[in-house]
Amino acid sequence: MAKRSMIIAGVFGLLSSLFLIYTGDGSAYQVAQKQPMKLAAMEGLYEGSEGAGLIMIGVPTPGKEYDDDKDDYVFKIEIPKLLSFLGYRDFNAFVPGVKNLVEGGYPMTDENGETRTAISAKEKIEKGKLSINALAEYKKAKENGNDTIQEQSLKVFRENFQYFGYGFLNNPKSIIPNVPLTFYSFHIMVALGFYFVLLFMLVLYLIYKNKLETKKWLLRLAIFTIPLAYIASMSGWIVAEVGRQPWTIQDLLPTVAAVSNIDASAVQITFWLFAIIFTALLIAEIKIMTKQIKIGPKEGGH
Amino acid sequence: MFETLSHFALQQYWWVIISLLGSTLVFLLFVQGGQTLISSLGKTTIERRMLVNSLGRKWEFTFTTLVTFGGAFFASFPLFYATSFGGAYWVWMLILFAFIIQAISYEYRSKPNNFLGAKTYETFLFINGALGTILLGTAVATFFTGSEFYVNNMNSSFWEGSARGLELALNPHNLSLGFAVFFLARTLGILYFMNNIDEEGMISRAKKKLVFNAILFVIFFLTFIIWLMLIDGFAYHPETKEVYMEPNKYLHNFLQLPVVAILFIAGVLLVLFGIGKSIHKACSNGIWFAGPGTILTVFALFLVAGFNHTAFYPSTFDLQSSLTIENASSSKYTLTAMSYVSLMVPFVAAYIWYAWKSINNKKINKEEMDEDIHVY
Repeated sequence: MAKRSMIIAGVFGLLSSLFLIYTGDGSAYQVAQKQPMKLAAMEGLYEGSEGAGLIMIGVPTPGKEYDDDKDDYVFKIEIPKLLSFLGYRDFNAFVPGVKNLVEGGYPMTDENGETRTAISAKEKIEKGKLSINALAEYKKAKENGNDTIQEQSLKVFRENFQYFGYGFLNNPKSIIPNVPLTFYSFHIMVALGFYFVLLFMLVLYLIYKNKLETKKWLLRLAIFTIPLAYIASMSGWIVAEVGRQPWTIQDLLPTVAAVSNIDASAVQITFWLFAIIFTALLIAEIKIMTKQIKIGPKEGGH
Repeated sequence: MFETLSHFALQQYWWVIISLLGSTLVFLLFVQGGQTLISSLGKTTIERRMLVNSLGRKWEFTFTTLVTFGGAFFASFPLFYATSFGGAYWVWMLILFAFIIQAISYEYRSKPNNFLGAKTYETFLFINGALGTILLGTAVATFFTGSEFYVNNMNSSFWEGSARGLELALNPHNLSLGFAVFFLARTLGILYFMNNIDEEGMISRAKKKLVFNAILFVIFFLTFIIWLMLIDGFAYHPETKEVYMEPNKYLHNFLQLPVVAILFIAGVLLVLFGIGKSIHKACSNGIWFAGPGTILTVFALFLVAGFNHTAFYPSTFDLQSSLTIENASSSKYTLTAMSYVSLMVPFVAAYIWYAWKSINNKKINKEEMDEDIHVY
């Protein structure tokens, strides 16, 4: 019974881990195209380059600012050119780093597929403010029935609309998310993903060879792997949500403009309510589960 | 086919869907009402177990409808969602927490070694039943009484109420609808038990409680409705969109939308008939009248709140910030796309009907509680 369920778990786990690696690759490509700053933060890449490598293990330099002269990493082991390939399907593509994205001046492909030089965050903020002001002008002109101003402001609004969200920001630095948090979460998630694949392959191999029962250490390891699945999942969410900052909608709506105007204390109280209730429920869940495991399977039950 | 409709027609179509979901939700709150009766109706462990299992096979229907209602509101009238959920923060948070503790209570209550004990989980079910119904009723009442907020010309809304929505629960009119929903849910819960459980003693106890709960429901409901017919309502000008107070607005809406008035009256009569039948005769099908009656009544109330140039989410802080189905809706493109998705609703409804029938094909009895391995 236990072995049968392990075969199912092993096969299912292996297939879903492999599938996750496949979809993860698809996401990386999407992120490179739509959220280049998130990609740079995931990799701790400040200074972009052509043929950028993918960091396997590394430590980003603590306290690093985008415009200081410190190295990006204390140390790193990387696979050459892989980041360029994953992000752009081209081993020699230019991957912009945090510094490039703030300062502009690097070659990029725009939405029409044409290559042009990227503008700086400062310019984007200026254009964003133009767009926001044009919208306000437009609304005022509409109220007063002034067609000429309406048309003019609509034109300015449309020309600068792609940077609309930048207009809510003031400091070019505010387009940078928390780099170390995003970097470590991303690498923990990826490392765990590959660890799961190895573990499932090993378990399936040993079941096939009928040797699993003798490998006590592996059975223990399997138990300790249960919480790692949650850690991998949470790390993924941290990459997605911390890495996207400051955007609710990329380039159009920053979180500072999207947030409800509630007090910080209300958020804190809610946080602790969630923490207390979910901790109590987690304890209940674990106690019920361990009890059921001790009772063992019922005939025909599930 | 939806592309040819005007934006206004789509807005009305979506208000009808919201109204349908909202009214179905209020009917399904019989689960919450039933939860508040577990300890008073169930005198023994096995009786309480039957009650919990009777409701436990239905709670997902209510929960899913609640979530769908919120989701559909978000997608079709996002400015309402942003204003109410971000503004009346504590009310919605309380509702959220009341529903978090519901789901797990069914799953954990009868399991050995469940940490908090069966009694605690029954208390959770009671809290969910009481808070869920009263607060949702209160929230719906604000469609007629208004809240304090303003919306600037960039469509950002700012809540001006003193207690983040909790102040709404101090308004007696809101509370009268809150308690009407609470006692209606208990009434429907009893009718549902009478239909679903095969246990003489408990059913006769339920019948006694039915009279008491039904009378309180009628009192609170009539209080709210009579007051509603007399007050000034939040109307807006069809052309200029300017919001103004119109005497007896909601009464006028009923008179100017006779179909809605007929739905409303038919609904109320069905509810009363279902209750009366169950009190006077030994019958178990009262829920089949009171349930659809509830849907018709609440559906009509929602339509009166949003149709006929009425602001469905009025602001008492700044009248011109009041939300209407025209100024709070998604763009024409979004509503058109969503309308195609809405074509799947009949299939979902048919599936629910099918699932419901197959769960209910036989009444719950004592023997089943001992045999079945699926019990809660």
